[in-house]
Amino acid sequence: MKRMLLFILISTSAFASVTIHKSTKNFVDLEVNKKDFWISCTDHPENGTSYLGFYVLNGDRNYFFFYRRPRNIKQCHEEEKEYHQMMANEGTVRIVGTSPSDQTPDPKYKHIKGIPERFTNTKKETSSYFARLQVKNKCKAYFPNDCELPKNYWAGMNPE
Amino acid sequence: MASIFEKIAKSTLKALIKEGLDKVFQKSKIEKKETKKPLPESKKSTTYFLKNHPWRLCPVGEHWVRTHPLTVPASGKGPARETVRQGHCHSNPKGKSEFYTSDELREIAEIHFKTLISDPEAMPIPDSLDYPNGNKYDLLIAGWTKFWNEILKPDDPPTPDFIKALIATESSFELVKDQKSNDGLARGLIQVTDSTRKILQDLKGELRNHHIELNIDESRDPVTNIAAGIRWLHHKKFLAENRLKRKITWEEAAAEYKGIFNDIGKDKKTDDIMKKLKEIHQRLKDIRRKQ
Repeated sequence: MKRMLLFILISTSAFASVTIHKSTKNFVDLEVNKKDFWISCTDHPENGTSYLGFYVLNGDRNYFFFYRRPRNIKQCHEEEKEYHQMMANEGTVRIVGTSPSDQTPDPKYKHIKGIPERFTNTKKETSSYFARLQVKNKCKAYFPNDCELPKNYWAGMNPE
Repeated sequence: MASIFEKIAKSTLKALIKEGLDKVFQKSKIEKKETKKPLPESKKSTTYFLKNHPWRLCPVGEHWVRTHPLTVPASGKGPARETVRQGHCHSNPKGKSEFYTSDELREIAEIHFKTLISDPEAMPIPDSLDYPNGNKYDLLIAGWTKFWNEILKPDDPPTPDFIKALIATESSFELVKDQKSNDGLARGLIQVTDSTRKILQDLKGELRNHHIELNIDESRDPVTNIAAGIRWLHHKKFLAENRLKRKITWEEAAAEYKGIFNDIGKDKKTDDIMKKLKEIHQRLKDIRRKQ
């Protein structure tokens, strides 16, 4: 029995690269090892739009965070670069989203150019508005005031 | 000799015709003056004149100027002095369409919106949607939804619940800082972009009528921000319907407003943005149905 418990403990810690700091019906705060984290702009040159999205892989679930509005292609890639610079030389990142909803991933979006399939081809998905990304003492948010911590920890949602 | 007589005859004829015409026009001028009878004392306020909406402060062709300090220059009656000019209507500059200043929008909201509290049809569902400020702007949503629906008269007017859902998706009812977008900086509760703000006041631009003049600060103010956002949403629906040559839903109009219409069904993030709007709208519709 002890061996079994030890095995479970070791195996979960070995695979769990995501720590769920808070998860309520309106709010999600995760910390993830960078190997299971992906940022990507998807460009639509025909419209000049580009959408920034963040992917967190947690077992068979993809936590997906997205911007409320598109950027133009140049802006999106500049911001993507800023996030990458922020994360450079760090092992984990912390990401906060609001209004999460569980949904079945749409098979149409299993293959998205520029995003490894392990992020997009999952059994489960939780989709949220992106609120902020934190790395140690650095923070970048969709609405800048959401980085005023701890005051705006809940990123405009009711605390739970 | 004959040509001299001809000339005299012609000039006499001209003089007679001119005299006749002058008499006719003079008469019509007098008639016009007579038809413009002085107004009875009780009807001397501007409300007597034609307005495009009963809430508007000024008649068609005029705009509101709020109470402001005024320097009266020195004259024979006395030295220069500071006074206050009360709010008043002022003629639109030549060629201006019906347009709204932030002053008039604020006055309309202040005077008329409070009467809507007791009208459940006009008010959005008082569900905070789990946002701390979720119900804070309900009166503004009710007032501006009603106002623009009555001014622009769409076949299928947007409901206050829909506008509330739209604001939830744009800002979560937070007075957020300016936000980058593919259409310039977006400001305030309903995220009016800089580009939108400019088009709304461009008399030679794509908007035919009902222009709104806002400066950057005014475009952030909840009262004028929501007024401008809803006006713009109507226009986006009109534009998209013309482009697509079919009627579109208000949800599609919201996608056009957010600048994501063309990416629906092509981009996961677009679809998720729309899914959130539909979820919130549905939540409000469900509550209303149960009432």
